[in-house]
Amino acid sequence: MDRGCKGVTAGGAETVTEMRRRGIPAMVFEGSQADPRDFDLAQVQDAMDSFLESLGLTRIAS
Amino acid sequence: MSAPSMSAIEKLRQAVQDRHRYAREWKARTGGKVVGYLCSYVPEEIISAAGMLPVRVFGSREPQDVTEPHIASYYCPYCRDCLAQALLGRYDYLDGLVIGHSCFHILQTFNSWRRHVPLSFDYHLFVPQHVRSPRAKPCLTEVLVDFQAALQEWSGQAVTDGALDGAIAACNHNRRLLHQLYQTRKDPSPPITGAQAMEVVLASQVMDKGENSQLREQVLSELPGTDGAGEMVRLMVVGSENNDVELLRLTESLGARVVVDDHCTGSRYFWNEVIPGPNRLEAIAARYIDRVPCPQKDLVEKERLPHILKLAQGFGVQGAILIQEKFCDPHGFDMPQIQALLKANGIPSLLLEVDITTPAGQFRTRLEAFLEMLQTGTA
Repeated sequence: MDRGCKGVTAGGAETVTEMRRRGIPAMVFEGSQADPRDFDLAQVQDAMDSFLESLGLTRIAS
Repeated sequence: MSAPSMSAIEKLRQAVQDRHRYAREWKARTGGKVVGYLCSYVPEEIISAAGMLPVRVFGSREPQDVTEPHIASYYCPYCRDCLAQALLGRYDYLDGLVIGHSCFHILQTFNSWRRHVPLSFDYHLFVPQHVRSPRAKPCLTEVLVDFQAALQEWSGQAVTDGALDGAIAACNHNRRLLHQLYQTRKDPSPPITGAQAMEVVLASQVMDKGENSQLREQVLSELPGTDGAGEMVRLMVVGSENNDVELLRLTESLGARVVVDDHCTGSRYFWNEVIPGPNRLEAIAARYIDRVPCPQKDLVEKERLPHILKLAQGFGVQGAILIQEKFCDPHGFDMPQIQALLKANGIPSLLLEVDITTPAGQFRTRLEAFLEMLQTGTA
């Protein structure tokens, strides 16, 4: 979800909600194409690891 | 002398506070349909002419936790608040929902609403974004032809020219009454507070126009000549969709009087009339295209800025409070220019970034400091 371009993310939350409703795992991370400082790589990687773990997967490379 | 205690104003306030009950009672009394609308670009005239009650959707300004799966947290709190009201069932009496195409934040409210809340009618009414384009009026006229047809098909009843004439007259009369009320606020001692004025305008957006106008006439006849507010600091408020009466009450409790506003829930809602013509829909389209524009539709000409200055000067304001709804980009783009324009004309301003869930009390210190600076001439 791009905080730097809200228009791009219109409908994004609904898309994720609908995917989950249909049983398709989905995770969301936020950033900003307008401001690289508005992106926490470590936090996103942690969230990604947790998401993969929930799917029984493991990240093999950083 | 204290601010007037007027039964008509109390009734209008009651209608705003109990707007859901009002709409339910109207529906039970008339058997008509109630149509909610998002954005003041929705032509109430056509909905009224179809025998329906148009009601503007407002938020409740209460914390909520139901919109996260539907709208990003960095969309404006107002659009999330409006959707929350739908998801919580507070608008369960609505038969239909209409949006006038404006910003995509409120459009997301509309899309999520119709996706998750049962409605027998929903309509996305396209409104040109560049309203000063010579093609805007013909475009909107054609859109209104389709809208009228959709309402007719839904209700099974014709929207006649006679009904449109009646609705146009009722809306115009209502607008004139609001103008008369606003004119009284030019008085050195305005007979009505800014909070009361806001409630009066909000009431117009949730009530039957005829009933509302009757009360409005009563308000005008009951206004006293003065309430001793002459020594108070005269303020203007500027911003987006705003029904934050509490913030105005707080501001006015600190020794100020809000005498005019530029909100689409305030003066911009009623500022211009429909000029009747043989083609009713063309006349209505012209009204909505010619109105003081929303910043979302004023990206090129920036017509709203001189309008704000004209209001500020015409109502003799000493300072302005610029209310920036968090994450509202169209208004955010304009705020620095508005601040600079007002400053260049000797009108200091205070910019407040608000979130619907922010208690007004948090702004007390900043408001007090701003008013003190205005009173001492150090702003």
